Amino acid sequence: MIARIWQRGSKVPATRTEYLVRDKLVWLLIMQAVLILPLIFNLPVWLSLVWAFAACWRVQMFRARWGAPGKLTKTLLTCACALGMYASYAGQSGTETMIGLLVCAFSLKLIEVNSIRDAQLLILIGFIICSTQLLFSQSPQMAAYCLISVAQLLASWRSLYLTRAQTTGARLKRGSAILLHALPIMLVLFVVIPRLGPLWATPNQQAAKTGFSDSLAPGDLGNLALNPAPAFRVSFNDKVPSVCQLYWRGLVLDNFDGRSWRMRDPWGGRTIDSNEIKRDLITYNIIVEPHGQPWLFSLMTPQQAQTPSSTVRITTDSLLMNRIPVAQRMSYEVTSALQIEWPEMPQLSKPQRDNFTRLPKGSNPQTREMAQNWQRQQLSDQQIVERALALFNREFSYTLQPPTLGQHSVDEFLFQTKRGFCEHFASSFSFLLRAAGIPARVVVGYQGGKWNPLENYLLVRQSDAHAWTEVWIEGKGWQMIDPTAAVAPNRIEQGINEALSESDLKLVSSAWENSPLFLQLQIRWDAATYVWQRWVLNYDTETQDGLLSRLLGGTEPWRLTLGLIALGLVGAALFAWLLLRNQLIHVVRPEVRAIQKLEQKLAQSGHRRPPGETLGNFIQRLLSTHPEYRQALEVIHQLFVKIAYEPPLATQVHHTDKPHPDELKQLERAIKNFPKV
Amino acid sequence: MNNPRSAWRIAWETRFYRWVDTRTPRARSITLNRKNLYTFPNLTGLMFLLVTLIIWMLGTNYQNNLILALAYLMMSIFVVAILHAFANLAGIRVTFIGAKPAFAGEPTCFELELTTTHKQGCDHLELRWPGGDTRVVTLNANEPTRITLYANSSERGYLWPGRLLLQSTFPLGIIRCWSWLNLDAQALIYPAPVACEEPQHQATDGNEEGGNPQSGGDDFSGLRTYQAGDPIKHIAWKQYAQEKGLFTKEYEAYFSAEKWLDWQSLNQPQELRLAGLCFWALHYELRQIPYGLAMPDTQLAPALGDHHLNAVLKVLAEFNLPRAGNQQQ
Repeated sequence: MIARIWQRGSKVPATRTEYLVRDKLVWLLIMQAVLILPLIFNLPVWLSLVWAFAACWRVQMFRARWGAPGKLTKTLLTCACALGMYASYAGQSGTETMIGLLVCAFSLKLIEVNSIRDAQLLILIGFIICSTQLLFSQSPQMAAYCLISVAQLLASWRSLYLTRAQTTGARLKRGSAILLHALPIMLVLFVVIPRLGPLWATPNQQAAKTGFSDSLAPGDLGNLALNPAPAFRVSFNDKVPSVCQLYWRGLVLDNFDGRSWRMRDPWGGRTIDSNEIKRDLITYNIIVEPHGQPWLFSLMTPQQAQTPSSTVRITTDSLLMNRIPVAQRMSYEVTSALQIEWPEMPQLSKPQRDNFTRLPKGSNPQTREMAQNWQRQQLSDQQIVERALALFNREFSYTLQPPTLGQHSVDEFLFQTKRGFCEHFASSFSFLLRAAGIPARVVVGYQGGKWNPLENYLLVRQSDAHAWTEVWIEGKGWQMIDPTAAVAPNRIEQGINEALSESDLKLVSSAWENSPLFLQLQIRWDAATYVWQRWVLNYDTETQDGLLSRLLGGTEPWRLTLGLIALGLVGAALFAWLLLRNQLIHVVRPEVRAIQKLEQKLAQSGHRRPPGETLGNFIQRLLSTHPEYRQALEVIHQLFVKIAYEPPLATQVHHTDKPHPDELKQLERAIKNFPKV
Repeated sequence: MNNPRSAWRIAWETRFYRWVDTRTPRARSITLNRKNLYTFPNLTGLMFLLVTLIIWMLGTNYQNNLILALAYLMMSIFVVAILHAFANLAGIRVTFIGAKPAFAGEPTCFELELTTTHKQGCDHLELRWPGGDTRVVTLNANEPTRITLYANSSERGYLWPGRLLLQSTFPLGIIRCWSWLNLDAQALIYPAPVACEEPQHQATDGNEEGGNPQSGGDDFSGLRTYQAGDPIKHIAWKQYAQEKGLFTKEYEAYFSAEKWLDWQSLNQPQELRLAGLCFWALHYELRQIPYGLAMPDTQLAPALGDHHLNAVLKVLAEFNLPRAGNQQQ
């Protein structure tokens, strides 16, 4: 590809006008710099050096210091770049390789741009480069930058064909005018043109894995609590559940190896029990940030989940799983049942029961001892759960800086340190119940979130990551129990910041981040981001249908056609008005306008000038009743006649539109000073 | 015509130009508007569309709405470029000012005046006659600009250089906006001068008719080889009798100081005769010898000067022209 672009330029331009002159080249250089700048952070460093080198050479060529590169130099450069490409992207055939190759060709082509045709090729590659900027970031800022890039591209492009001198400002202005004229059409196209699914499979971009992983060891979630990055945003279709119900389940961990909890088997289809009675159905829409893992988040017992490309399944553990890791921001809609009742008792099979009570041999003997002690007292499952919660409630405290734990982490936590974070509580609580023979598992996900009243959605951050326990109670099924709530109820009701001590708070955020102004700004900024995501980034077929049917009352072809025709008519009317407004608006001469002011003054006292009466006659008529104004009115009349009917003297000709500027001023002053009748 | 494709092409072009002519009849001054301006994407425009398609596929495949929006933006830029390219040329008024006469085979100057009412003026306007060189001009709003365009002439008579092609791809070079103007412009083309034997004026007035050419012995200038068509009474019989060969006596003083360019005196095909007369007219003008012109239908009294020369050449150029209708083809 590089070689082909390289050779294309060797054709000698036929006529003088096809040669690229100096100022056009400057525009091309600036255009390249603007386009490559945001990509630099995502590309190997040597590529930006290649561009800097090419730009340098080009500048030197125009200063006649260096000659044009010979065949050998070109070949060597191409080979060097090919080697560099191989070194940086060996074995990868993804997006980044493509972008690297493009930028490489874009840079090298610069050295041998000679004619308008070469420059055109450079511009066309520029548009593709502009689109690759958006592969790395889709923030509103990036979109704005992309628009600026396009304006710059257009200004450079237009400059190629400009045959007369024009200032930089005028070039930018005229280039942006093309962009401004195009934007409304683009908006219509964006709203109306149907979306298609991916045409073929593309290698996924490497997304940084944020959020929790598929195992939970002490200290894992504590790090997340310091991360304020958004995890997902939720909008509820009708009713909003209470804060205590906002447990966003992400992953069920049911395998304990003595130190950390792991996911045993995430796969397997959900068996839907037709006897279930679903209560409190709730539907909500989630836009999840890319976290590089296959799991998605939902409230208790999801019943239905929908994505545009239908890649989501519900597992036996009532979890949402995506077919591929979430590498791009995606939106999905879930319907959850907050309560489920069984007419017949649900039963755990023997192997299931064994699995959920299995513990590694010999670990945490003290805790086992305590649990078996409770078991020996013939307590019911429910009573054991309550006893354990009471224990946590009595003696434990919540902190982000827990002491490090040794081999028997549960023992040490329960009997020595007694200070910890949600994962410590969830982990030790589950262990305790399992030791007492009660099926239990750890669930990780997020809890709560921050309500944004501007756009009515819930923002859940990484710092809202949480772990809790689910316990199998005979006759009730899996019940959610949050031991953290027993220790720090504030954590659940008001969010993590409320549950922390002063020293912990300093860890999470600095003082100014808690100032009301900053919080207000943050809410506004996040609301804007949400609107951007919902209406721009996740504008899909479904949203399109919804919007179109709201605007037009349906999405039948005839409605769309009529809508487009109406839009076209409005556009044409606007265009016609812009073209004809100078002819439509009647221009009133300044002296006439001044006289109109006088007439307004006189009209207040009942002296009206009927249309058709000359000013002279009007003044004569006026003087017959008001002779005291003779002097003022005669001056006004004389000035008016002079301005309106006398050609300006040759010596008086000024370079203005008004032929008698001095007299006009006198007339205006005289009318202003005219007393009220 | 032996190539069927070219025949088809000629037929098509004839038909097309006839259609163009019905939309804009021939006039001395033509304003460009939606009736006579045509727009179509050029090769670069098609490449731009291809790039747009590539970006659209990129956006679709990555399900990236912003990249899709960029593709739509490029699509809109394409549409807007059509309007801008049209606006660049619309409102231009082309007036034919005049043309300098030229000799057949020389490039002919046509002077045109261009004015535009568009506020931004007009950039990168290319003009040319068919087969002529291209001129690129820039116009400012309401500032009449005069330009000279060259067209190639091939034969004497009145030259209609063909439809004037005006085109521009401004501002982005992806849309070509053009027009063929059927300008009522014509230039007088003189015959190309071709050297030949000096024309002899066949005496037309009574004095010289039947006069003895040998009477003015001083005027006898020499002998030359006899050529077919030489007047018999000029034959040098003495030399013929001496068996030296057949010679014709030349008489300088046969005419006065005035020369006559006599159509009848040249014995050649029409166009060559005209070319020869042209040559001698220029020859005499250069030597400052007064000359007159005697054509079958016109006669110009001997005189000198540019005005006279032009008048003579005009008569030669217009002599016996084919039907006026043919020049438009």
